[in-house]
Amino acid sequence: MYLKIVGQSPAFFEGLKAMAEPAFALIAWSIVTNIALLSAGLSAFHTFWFNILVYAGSAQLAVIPLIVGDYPLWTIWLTALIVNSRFVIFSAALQPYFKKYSFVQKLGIGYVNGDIVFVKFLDRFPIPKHGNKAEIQLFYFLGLALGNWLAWQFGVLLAIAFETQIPGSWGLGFAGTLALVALVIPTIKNKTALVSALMAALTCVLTVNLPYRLTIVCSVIAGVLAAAWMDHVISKVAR
Amino acid sequence: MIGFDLWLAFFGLIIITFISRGLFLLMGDKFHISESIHEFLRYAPTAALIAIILPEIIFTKNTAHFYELNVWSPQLFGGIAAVIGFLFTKSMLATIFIGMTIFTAARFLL
Repeated sequence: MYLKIVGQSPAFFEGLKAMAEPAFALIAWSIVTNIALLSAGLSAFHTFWFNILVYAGSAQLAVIPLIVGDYPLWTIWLTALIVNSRFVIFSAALQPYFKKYSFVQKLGIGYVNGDIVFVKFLDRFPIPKHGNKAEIQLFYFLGLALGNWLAWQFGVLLAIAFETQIPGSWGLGFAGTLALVALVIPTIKNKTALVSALMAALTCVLTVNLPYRLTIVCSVIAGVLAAAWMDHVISKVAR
Repeated sequence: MIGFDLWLAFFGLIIITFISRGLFLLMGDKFHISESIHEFLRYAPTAALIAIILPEIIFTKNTAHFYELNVWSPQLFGGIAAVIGFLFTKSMLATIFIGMTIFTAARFLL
């Protein structure tokens, strides 16, 4: 019943369509990530289920040496938690949009979130809508999330099928990075966004060698704080 | 790691995906995100993308797998070309094409 409502919503297809271009980046990354998992020694069968069940690209990549090296379980889980820490901040940003849904629904909404889903969603709905139009936010989000999931799992299958035929020299990972360049530039729309972006970039440069890809969460915190600071400065000048 | 241990590791990782991605969504009643805080959290996605992109463009990995600043690399030239390409074309595919062309050319020339 509910699936039918989602399936008939224009917002759902709008979200799905919005993932068409970034899908290229996702597939490229997924291939690169999963070739790394396979060449670390994970079987095709386990690689497939790892992606279907855990569905956390960067965390999967981070824990694979620990899994292969038979490290204690708690180190594997702790590593994944730290690599995923940016999503805790993302979940705070998503909270106002999806307050009215049940615990299980919210669990599902969080689970299917991803970096690109999050960027695209906040770009489309910078301010939470309430009232009877609020549902389109969920439908749009689910469209994005499905596109994200399909592109990622397609990359998994390609990696499994063509593992040995895809040479690293193609620079596939770099093509994925360039796709993100096209995704990030349009999000820098005003002075506050520019200062926030510069602060994030500076923080990234300073923290790039921290373990567990902590540079991402550090840069996110710096970017958000810089935005808050800019807002404070602007309101002071206005007064 | 094989068999049961591997599936146990996966199982724990599923829970971690749920917890990390859902934390504040699920704790909406206890930790309310106010409008003013949300205003600033809107800048989080851009910051995250920058921290994912930048290490691949202005750094190269040395033999000890540490990132080293490198301002004369094919990645940097490709990255700059991509930024310029995007500003002119506003198209993701054109951005990738322009960036990869310069990146590949620079790999042969540098």
